[in-house]
Amino acid sequence: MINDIIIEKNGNFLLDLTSEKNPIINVKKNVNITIDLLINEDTNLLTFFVQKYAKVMLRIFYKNSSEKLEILANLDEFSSFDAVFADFSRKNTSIKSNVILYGDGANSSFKFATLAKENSIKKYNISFDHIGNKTSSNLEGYLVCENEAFVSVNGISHIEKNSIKSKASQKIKGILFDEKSKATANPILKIDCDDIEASHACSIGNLNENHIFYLMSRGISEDEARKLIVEGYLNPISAYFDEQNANEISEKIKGEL
Amino acid sequence: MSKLVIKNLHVSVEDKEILKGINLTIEEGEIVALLGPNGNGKSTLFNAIMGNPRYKITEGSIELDGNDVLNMKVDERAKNGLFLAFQNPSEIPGVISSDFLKTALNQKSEKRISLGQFYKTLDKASKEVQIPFEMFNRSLNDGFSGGEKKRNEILQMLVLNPKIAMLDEIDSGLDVDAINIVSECIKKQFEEKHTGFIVISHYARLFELIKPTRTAVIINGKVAIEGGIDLYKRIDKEGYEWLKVEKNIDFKEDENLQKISLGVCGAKR
Repeated sequence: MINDIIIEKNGNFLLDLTSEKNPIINVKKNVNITIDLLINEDTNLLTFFVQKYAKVMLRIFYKNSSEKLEILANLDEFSSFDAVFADFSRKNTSIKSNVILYGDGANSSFKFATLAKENSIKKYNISFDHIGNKTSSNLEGYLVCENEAFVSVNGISHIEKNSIKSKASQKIKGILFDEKSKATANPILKIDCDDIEASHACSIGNLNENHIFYLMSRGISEDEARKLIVEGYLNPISAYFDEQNANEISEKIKGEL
Repeated sequence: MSKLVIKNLHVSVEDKEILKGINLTIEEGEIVALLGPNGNGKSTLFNAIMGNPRYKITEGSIELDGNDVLNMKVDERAKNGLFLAFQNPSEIPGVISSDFLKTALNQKSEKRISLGQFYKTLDKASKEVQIPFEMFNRSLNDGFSGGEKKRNEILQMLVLNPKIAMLDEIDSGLDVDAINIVSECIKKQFEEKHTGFIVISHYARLFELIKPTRTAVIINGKVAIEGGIDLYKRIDKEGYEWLKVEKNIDFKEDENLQKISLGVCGAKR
């Protein structure tokens, strides 16, 4: 069964996927909405149609979930769709997101932070299709792996032929805590137009030993230094959430380290 | 009175011996000007004393108040009163400066510092080094200018109140006003807390302001000559060439001077 949800007013909205199966969400013109997601145990498909000048912020916080989530979004002129995803579940997760920047001036971002532990496997496939002029997209991901965890990130930003003066950027950073953990990242740019700006960057490795030494030289123990660095790495995602979830994310990070 | 005693210190980096038998003593209540041509081991000495794992001690000893420093971890060295102001302080994105300093203070003392006391300490120190208080809400050294980083190093020194402070080219990247501010902080720490200083600089201006009590010159990985303040003044005026003629000390500057990066990959920030 497919449910249509029409959003016509500004505000915060809790979308409960335990009762709404695979909803199609229409966000009307000029509406500014923040959506917090409650997820169920099935594969979830979320489809957004974001009309002109509308703004959507989608916030997802995985605490103990083990889900496959797929997001599709179609953006009209000068609309925006921003997704933030805090994944601190110890279970396997899989996220697919495809945003079509159809209207001129549309923009979108996907930011995530994930702490993968204890053999968990986390997969992110995030893509943006730029069709309109002067569209922009941004993928930012921070991942930490330990205890034989595995994270893979595929980012694809496709700027199509007539999408002039569009911008695409991707930045993926990862820290591996042990030799058995693994992370792969592919920040891919597909560019079919000349007059654009695009950048991609990726770094995955161990904790920076110079940073550890610097912090220890001020009397901070090695364990504390590692905690400070990883907290600093993951915690900025909490700024996008409401106070209760932000505190929970901070506590979750501290508790897991 | 605290005393740092270095005896016959040999240090290698990536199997290349840099320090070849350093003997040097620094006590609380004195300021030692440490000079030497580039690439002769001054920064290596500081890193070795602080315990940088890249620097391997192959021979010799370092003692602080009779305790073996070489057996201490890096954080234990700091807790025992050693401090290094880095030539190029690390930028650590995400680690908020105030969180970092609070953690450092809490780890140093047995009793946790109250939030009120912490902010009072920070406020006082920030006024002394003239760093805006808002900077403590930013990531540690991330996006700081060269001068701000150096002042932040001095601020950390004031807050942590070490017995022996090593300052590695603390004046590089500072404008005239900032050099005066930093010098005042060093002098105050020296006069009020009697911290012992060992200070690397290539310029006499800093030394004129902080007034060292003596001078040591490292050449070819050894303390080649020690003396009073006249020694740094003569080096500032004439360079090091006269040492070859008058003291029969032969040396050449390091051919592998530190490479300067003109840019970094975005992912490294």
